[in-house]
Amino acid sequence: MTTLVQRIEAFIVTGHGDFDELAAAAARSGYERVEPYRRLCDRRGLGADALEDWRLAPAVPTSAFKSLRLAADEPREIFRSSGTTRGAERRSVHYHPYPDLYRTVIDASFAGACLPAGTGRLPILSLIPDRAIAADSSLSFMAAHVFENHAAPGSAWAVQDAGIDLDLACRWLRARTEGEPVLVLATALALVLLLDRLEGETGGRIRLPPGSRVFETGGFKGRSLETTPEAVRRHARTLLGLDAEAVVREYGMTELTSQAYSRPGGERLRTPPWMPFRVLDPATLEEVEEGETGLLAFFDLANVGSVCHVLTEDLGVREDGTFRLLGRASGAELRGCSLTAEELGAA
Amino acid sequence: MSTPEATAHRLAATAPSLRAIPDEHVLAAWNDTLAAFLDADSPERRDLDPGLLQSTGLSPAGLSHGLGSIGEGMLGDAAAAELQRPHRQEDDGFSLVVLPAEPPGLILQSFLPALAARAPVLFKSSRAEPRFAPAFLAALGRRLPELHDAYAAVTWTGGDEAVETPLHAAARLVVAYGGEATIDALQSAAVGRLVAFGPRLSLGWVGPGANPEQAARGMALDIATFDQRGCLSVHTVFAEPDTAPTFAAALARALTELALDLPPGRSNTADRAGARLAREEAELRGLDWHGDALDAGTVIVDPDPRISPSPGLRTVRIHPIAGVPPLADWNDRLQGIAVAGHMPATIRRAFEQAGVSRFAPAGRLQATDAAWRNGGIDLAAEFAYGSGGKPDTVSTTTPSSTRNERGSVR
Repeated sequence: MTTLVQRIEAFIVTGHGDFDELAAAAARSGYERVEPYRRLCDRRGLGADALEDWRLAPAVPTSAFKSLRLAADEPREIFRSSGTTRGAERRSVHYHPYPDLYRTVIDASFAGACLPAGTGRLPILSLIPDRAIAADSSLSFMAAHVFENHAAPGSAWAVQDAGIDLDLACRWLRARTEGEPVLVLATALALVLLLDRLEGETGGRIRLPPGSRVFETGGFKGRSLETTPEAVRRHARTLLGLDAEAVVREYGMTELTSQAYSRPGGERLRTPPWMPFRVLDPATLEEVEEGETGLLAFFDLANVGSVCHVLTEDLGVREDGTFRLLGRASGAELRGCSLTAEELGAA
Repeated sequence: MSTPEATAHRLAATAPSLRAIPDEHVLAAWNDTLAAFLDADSPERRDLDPGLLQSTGLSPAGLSHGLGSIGEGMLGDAAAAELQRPHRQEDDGFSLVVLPAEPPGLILQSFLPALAARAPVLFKSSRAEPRFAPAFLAALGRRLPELHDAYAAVTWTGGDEAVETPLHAAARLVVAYGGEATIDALQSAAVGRLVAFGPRLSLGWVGPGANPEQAARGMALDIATFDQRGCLSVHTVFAEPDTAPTFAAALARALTELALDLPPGRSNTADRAGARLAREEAELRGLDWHGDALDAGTVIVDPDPRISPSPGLRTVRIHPIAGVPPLADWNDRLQGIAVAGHMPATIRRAFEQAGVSRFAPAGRLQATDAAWRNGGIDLAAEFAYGSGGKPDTVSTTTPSSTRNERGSVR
């Protein structure tokens, strides 16, 4: 197992190697080491030898992380999803045996996607909780690693036990309108709260130094706000005085180790070479044509500690090697004699 | 064109004349109008159905069956009993009812109590389904012109403060069916008295003595009606452990057979994706599941007794359980229970304490009547007495705004 992890790590760092061969080895490893996955493959008549093509390896729905222990080795980190505000749903658990591999992924992708070329350490404001507050959050794990590698003195965590410290965040931003560029790490929801506060304050909008960036991830997690993530990004650019390329979107989840990123200022998301994606027809689980909507599936080599092939609840469409998010599969939202979230936007 | 606010003030002025209309006149017009809307061959339905089928996505048989399940129990004696209740609006003023996008025809459940209270009402139709309410009001107004000026259905963009702020301020009462966002927004708006019907789901119970085949046929109807989009749609069934496997197989057969009489409506990618993910998860977990075509139903036997909302497409989980199901996470989010066999008193109490307001034999859960009080709320009394000027809220769900949010997403 160590050898396979090392080979995957080398592929992530250098890009050298044969993805298909590594993916087949990772799929076979999942078959051999993750009991529920082996049972699924067996039920479908797929032995280890049949997993030569990673596309044929069954994709595991993210909901399975809520009820099954999908671990190929003893976990060294246990990540849990935060759930939504409704609180009546189960949470995903990712038993992660290889946190160093996670760090390698972050090192190989974060800076290239989020920071202007040549950026060294820079002041960072995080609206994502640190690990002392959210020890089981994979996002906090990532933010902590980003801090460790990229944060200059004066960087700040603006989340306390009680929630986001908007006073601190606003003070921090207003004190950094001159000088070196800064980086803001935020969820979409945290960004909404920050922008609302900034807008309401005396002084209103600010102008962060050129080259500053905002890393934005996630949707509103069940919070129905009268805005959209796209509008929030536009608003952030306006209110923080940022250029068109300043906001970078990240797409990640507890169940995956790797992330997809937008180009700076873009909406479409690109996965790294070690995590190809496919868009699948829900009726057949066959890949749909470019431009057609379907379920997003990822084969994440860095998930070799659990299962690599993951079928998400997100709908998307492939466009020129990237994907665009188009909503969620039904099931997460409680309906019934009510308007749906989508309907709210249209009502 | 009149603004919603101007329309509402016009309605409010009709209160005295509305009170003067004899019960028997209202009853006759109501019965005649409703009967026409329950008859798929009536001129009203022939005009309405093409647009309604398009906006709801239901199959023609599904639409007729669904409207029947809401409306048939509101005809004749049942309607007469409601209209003769003593609650009357004695002051002037109007109420506002915010209707949901689905299921269609839900206006009936608030309209009859409003008529009983002689309360003028402005209905806000959803933009996703703007047809049924104005068509019904117009048809009623043709039969009893005195009602024409007291009720109106209009549509505007939800959240438009220029429209909603003056309306909320002027309304004696706001009744809202909606998702959490709608309810939260109304609760934080300057609304006088608010009666809020938030999102809910319903369950099934297969207890001792149930005939699995018979229970399955009834439960299939409670699942398929409105294609699982109503608050009385069954998402999950608790069944005795010994009966659960047999019942699940019977339910899958019953859903397949029912799909011939009540064909599933139009499905979208999100619904198909949700049903597919439910099947894939079941397979990974090694659960027994039944299902053929993705949109004709999926039955999953899940030993984990926790409730999960169905993704739709007639997907249902059967939880084998011997005692009281875990309901704590679903307090005030459960609407009704379709019952087959015996339900012990302890179980019934647990469901009641979780907020269930309707218990009905399997197959009859969605067939409500005029006497049903959704969430235990007497709407006729609410319409009659309004706020009395005091802000207040009667909510059938816990507002999400009271819950903590740290902002982390994973």
